[in-house]
Amino acid sequence: MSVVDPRITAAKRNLEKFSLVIPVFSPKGGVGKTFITALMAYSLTLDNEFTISLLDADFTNPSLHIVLGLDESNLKIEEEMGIKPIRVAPEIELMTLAAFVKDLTVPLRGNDIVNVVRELLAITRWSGKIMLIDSPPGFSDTHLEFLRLLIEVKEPKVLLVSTPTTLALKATERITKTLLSENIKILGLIGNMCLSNDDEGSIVQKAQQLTIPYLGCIPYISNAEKFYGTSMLELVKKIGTPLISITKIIKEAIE
Amino acid sequence: MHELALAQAVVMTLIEEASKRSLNNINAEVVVGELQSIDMEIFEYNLNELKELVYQERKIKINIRIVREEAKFRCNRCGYTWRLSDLPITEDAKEAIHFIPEAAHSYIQCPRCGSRDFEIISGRGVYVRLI
Repeated sequence: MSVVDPRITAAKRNLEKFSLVIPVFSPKGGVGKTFITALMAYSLTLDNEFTISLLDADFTNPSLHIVLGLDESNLKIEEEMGIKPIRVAPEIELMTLAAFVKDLTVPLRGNDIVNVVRELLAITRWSGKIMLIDSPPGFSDTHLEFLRLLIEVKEPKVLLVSTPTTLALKATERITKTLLSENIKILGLIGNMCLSNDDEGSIVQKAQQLTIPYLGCIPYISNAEKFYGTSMLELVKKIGTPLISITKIIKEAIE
Repeated sequence: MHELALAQAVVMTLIEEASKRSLNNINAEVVVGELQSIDMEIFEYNLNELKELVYQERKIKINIRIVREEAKFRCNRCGYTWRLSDLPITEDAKEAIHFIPEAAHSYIQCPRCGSRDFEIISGRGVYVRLI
């Protein structure tokens, strides 16, 4: 008697519907993966061409909803042939564990994390064309399970985020080498919190050294929290050029 | 209906398994964990409807026996084991756990030492045993 997990079939079927799935990775914490994910979502929907599905995969400490201006106490899960993601903006939807556990922490071991990945992918009824996955720091159970499921249905294109610091760049170097050695496609490297041309230079240099595309640098924004919520759209317009070129590259990556 | 999504996942999996083995008749046990507190009437109804549809469209006969599994937990810190019924759980917590059983780690603590670091040793959710 063999045991089969029915969620794997359902998860793959749901992932197949996307034109592009982008896991946003950085092994180093605090580089702004969540912030960049939110910026990208708004940037990609600027011309109303795409619908975006966001998945907050930082299960033990979900925070994407906060950047998107949502209060967890108001997040309600609706059932309709599965569960419906939360509507953030007309073209942006979100699934997050915060909708289930509100402001409680979710202490999870490896196998529990694998279960959450499978469950969320199996039962969520996404409607977006592009999926952005905001991942936790590191490179462990969450990342490995997403890659495992994605590789079987749709080539994932990983977006790497790094600040121009020595530690973040070293972490970027390590994960890049691992991903490339496994033939996992890297969409490119985004620099975040860049204060100067030198900062941008370090990101460019690292991308060149690792032979991955340099996508652009987002400047350091001292009052970033002021833009949480719908003001992210205002911020996207304020940042301008780097985000426009990153968005263009992402659009080109759509099959 | 969350039950429908789960029933679809089960049936899709069985179609996949039947195709892999070139079978037009597949037998399975669907194990339903207590923790996910699925509405069995709705789940069974959905399964029967889908089975019928699969038979009409693909001529694959799916035979399912539903087995319920009691939820049991073991604390990773003190080793204590307990059942779901040993603890009071609020309706909000029940609803969250219904969708994502791992939400139990946010709402349930070991009755002996208070730790949230526990293992769900049985009765987590839905899985399929092929016969």
